[in-house]
Amino acid sequence: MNAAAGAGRGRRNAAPAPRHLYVHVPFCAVRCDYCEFYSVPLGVAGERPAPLAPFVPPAASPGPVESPTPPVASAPHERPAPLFAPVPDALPPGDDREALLDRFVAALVAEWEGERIRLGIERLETVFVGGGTPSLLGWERIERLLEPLEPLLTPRAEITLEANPDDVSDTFAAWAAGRRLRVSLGVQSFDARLRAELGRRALADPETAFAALRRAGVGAAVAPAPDSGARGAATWRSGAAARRPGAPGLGIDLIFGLPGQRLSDVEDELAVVARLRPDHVSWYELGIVSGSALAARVMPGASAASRAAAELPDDETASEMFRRIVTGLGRLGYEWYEVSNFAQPGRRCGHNSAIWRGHDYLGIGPGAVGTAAGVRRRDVPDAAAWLGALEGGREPAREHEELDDATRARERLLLAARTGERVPLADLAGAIDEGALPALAGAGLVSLTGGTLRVTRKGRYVANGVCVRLFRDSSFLEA
Amino acid sequence: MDLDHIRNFSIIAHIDHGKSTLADRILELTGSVTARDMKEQLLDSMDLERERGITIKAQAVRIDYKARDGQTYQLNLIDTPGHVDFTYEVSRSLAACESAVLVVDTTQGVEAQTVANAYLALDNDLEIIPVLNKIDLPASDVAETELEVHELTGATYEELLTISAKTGAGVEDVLEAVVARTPRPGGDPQAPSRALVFDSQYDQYRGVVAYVRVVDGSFARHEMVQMMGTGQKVEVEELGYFGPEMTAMPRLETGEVGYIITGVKEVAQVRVGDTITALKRPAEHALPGYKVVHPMVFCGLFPTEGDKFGELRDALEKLTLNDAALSWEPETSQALGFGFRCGFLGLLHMDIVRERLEREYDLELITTTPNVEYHVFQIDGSMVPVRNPADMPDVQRIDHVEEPYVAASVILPTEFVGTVMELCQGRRSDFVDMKYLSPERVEMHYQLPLGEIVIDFFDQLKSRTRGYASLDYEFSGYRNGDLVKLDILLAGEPVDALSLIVPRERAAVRGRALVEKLRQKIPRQMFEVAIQAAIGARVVARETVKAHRKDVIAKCYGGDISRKRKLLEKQKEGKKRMKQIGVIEVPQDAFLAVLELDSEGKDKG
Repeated sequence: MNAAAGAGRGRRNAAPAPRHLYVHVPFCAVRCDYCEFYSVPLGVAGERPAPLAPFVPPAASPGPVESPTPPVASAPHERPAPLFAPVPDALPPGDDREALLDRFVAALVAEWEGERIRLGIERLETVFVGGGTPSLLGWERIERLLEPLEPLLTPRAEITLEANPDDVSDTFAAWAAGRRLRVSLGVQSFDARLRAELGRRALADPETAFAALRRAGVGAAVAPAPDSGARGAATWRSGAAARRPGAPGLGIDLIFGLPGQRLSDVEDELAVVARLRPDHVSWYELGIVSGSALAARVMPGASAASRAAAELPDDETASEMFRRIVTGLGRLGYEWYEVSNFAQPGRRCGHNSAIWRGHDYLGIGPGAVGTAAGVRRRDVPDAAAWLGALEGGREPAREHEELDDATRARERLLLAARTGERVPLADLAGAIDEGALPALAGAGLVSLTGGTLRVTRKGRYVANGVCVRLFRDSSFLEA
Repeated sequence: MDLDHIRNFSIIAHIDHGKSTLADRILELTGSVTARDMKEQLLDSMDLERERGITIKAQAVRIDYKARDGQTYQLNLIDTPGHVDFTYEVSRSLAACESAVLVVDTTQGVEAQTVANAYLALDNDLEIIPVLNKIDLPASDVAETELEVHELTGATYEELLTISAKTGAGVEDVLEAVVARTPRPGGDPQAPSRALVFDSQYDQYRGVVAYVRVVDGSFARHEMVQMMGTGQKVEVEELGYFGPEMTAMPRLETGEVGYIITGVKEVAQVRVGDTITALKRPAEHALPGYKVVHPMVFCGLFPTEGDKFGELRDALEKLTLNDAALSWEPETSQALGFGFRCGFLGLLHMDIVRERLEREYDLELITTTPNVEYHVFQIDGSMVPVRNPADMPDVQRIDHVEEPYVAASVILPTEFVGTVMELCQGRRSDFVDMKYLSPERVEMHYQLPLGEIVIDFFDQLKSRTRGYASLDYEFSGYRNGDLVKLDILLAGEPVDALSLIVPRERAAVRGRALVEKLRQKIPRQMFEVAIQAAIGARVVARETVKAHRKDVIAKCYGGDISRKRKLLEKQKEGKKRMKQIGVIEVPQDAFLAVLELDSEGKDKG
């Protein structure tokens, strides 16, 4: 990897370097029916993985459902790859899943090194390893990824890892606990029936996985004793890495508004949460993304039978579901610190909180996004090309979006509306239509005090609407 | 061409009876247009006209016709509209002619505008040449139609011509009749020159094109002339005739019909009805102009985007160039901002103007519900004319309200008499009388408020009589009416653009229907929206649009921010087409919600 040392020195004189790192691991076993992200299905462990096909994103124009974009042919095959299914074709010789993942991690480290030098990163406060299914890498590979970051981590640095229940073995759990990680377990629903509706492949029971993680001490305030845990973890612990206090936690991701889900099911879900007491809960509403397998089942065009069977909750029910979620989790002591994120006191996700406050962060890995010095950039979501570039000693292809002041102000508002953060009106000047404020304040959706604006809890339910109301009409900007 | 060989004639008829087809055939027959050039109904040059199959503007064409007597005559044909809304246009062009070919469709018989136009022609002292058309069709009933036309015009059976404009049968006879029966044009070639401006068209490069009929004397190119009405002195840049294309000539003589271009760009300076005279030897008296028509139907026109107000004004100015019947004046609405209150001859006129504005001038408009002009007599004795329901004075100040009435005549087959009676009964009408045009057809006369016609009377009449009935109406004065203002309130605030003036007896029903309709049209907002209908302080109906409870609860991590921001920006763009009334976002079509309800207040669906 070419070390751009000169660039590093120059960098130090410009804006301060990002203190947060996001790593994107795009691999999954199979793609879930509802997934809208860049994901490379690898097939179930033990089977031949699929070749790396370029990603074709859902239609660019935002909206609930648009017509799917036609798939792009993947080199070296002539046939266009189906958009959202594993490609069961022969692989380039010599490749297999394990080697692929090894190469992937090596390339990640290479990209990190290059960016560290170029941006002059000296400290990292948070690291977030997301995907896809990062836990697919296995704890040893993740360790290889984290090792080079060690020297830069601050004492209370937070490291978050997304994991699927399938990948949670006792060894994994012990390692995660010893490592003082924040683990975000992809549950989606504790109800197997509802999970099946999503095409969620996870065969392992999420409760079991959760319990295993808890038992091993993931998220515990105090580090587990060195002699507890399985052999694999002991192997690791005997390593030289210094133990850090860290900012651990055990969180779960849930989705509501599922096909066939009723209000009582949401209550059941809350009951499980109450029993398990995760440190953190992310709970989103199911969105039907065009091109996804789920969309094919439920949208106009799908057969009437499959749509009826889909039974998506109507608007009223979904609203009530969410209201119960917010109040239910509130009663359990969770702080509603972002529209879809709830945390026990002291257990918020520091990485996401930093991003929501507009702090710069670096993103590495195919499809990863990062924002720094007013520019948002994204590694092109093409794992094969990304890998090829880094293995060839080059930087991977990236897309850049310049964010001018007005755009940044709008984003600030957009994020603040979701978190309830208090924002000085001066910071938003020119980007918002101040004439809309009185009505919103009158309706209790925003609170205006001392020259600051805060979206209330009531307003958070309709954060999008508040933003649309407040965004300045673009025609004024041109005038 | 000497006066003896000039014939100026018009073709008048009820809509779709075939006058334009006849005009086409005449042009073809006389070689004015080769068959290859012939586009169906050539004279309707506006796209809109062709689309709707109706004539809006009158057009004038000079035809050279070699008659059976061997002599060549100059025939000037003026095409006219056939809808009740455009009676004004008809009378203008008739003033330039000496005869009118009255075309009657033998499958339909005499209809309302047949009668109306025939009377107009008689008013203008024209010779009427009745022509029975569409004899090629199996449904043609010549005997019956002959009877009706005879009743109407007094023409003898020998004087009636039977033709098929479509096939061309008998068309030459029509031309012969025009030659034989049309009086030579009056006027004195030696007298000081006078030309009547009977129409005008604005050309963006050449300015105003005046359609003229030379009554006395003559005009030459480069001559200095004066507009007698405005006093303006201008030079004749070009003059000529329509052949049907504009064909420049060195002179236009007495009795001829054609055009004069003076280079004038200002609409107001070339007034229809004005007289042009030569500056060197001006005439003493102008030709009699036209009676000023009064607009009958009004609506508010507002640009969707406030900054397009100037464009709308310019467009209206240009439209008035060619449409003297269109009236407009600035209006301010609390709800809709700056716009115009426009007056039209009728609903079709309004529709056409609106479409022209949107299409030819590329404007996005909000139109309010059409209404008539009320005369509100206040307690202090003064009278306030109200063209916008929102301007209605407070109830306490009102002594009584008068509304315009019309004398309506409906011509229909006898089998529908009961249906039409029923329709009119529901419209606060007074039955006047009934006359048989023939054993099969009847003419019924009613007096009823114009306000009852304005919304959907015509459509209802047509649909209930399977299209066989026709309607003509004429303003017949103002009469007292028990009318009240129905206000619509959104979130407790009255929305002026939604106000209506309705008969008191129906106010509650209309109010409830309207409120329900609005509830359907107004989307859920971040606040609950109360929709109320009220008469004065009394609420007669109420509905609520529930508040939107939540957005889709989606994740928004680093990689999602750009996408989410763009989504919201796009939604903001989408809102531009809504009107903001207080805190409520109201879609444009909510303002026309009342049109989706019939006069009883029932949803037309």
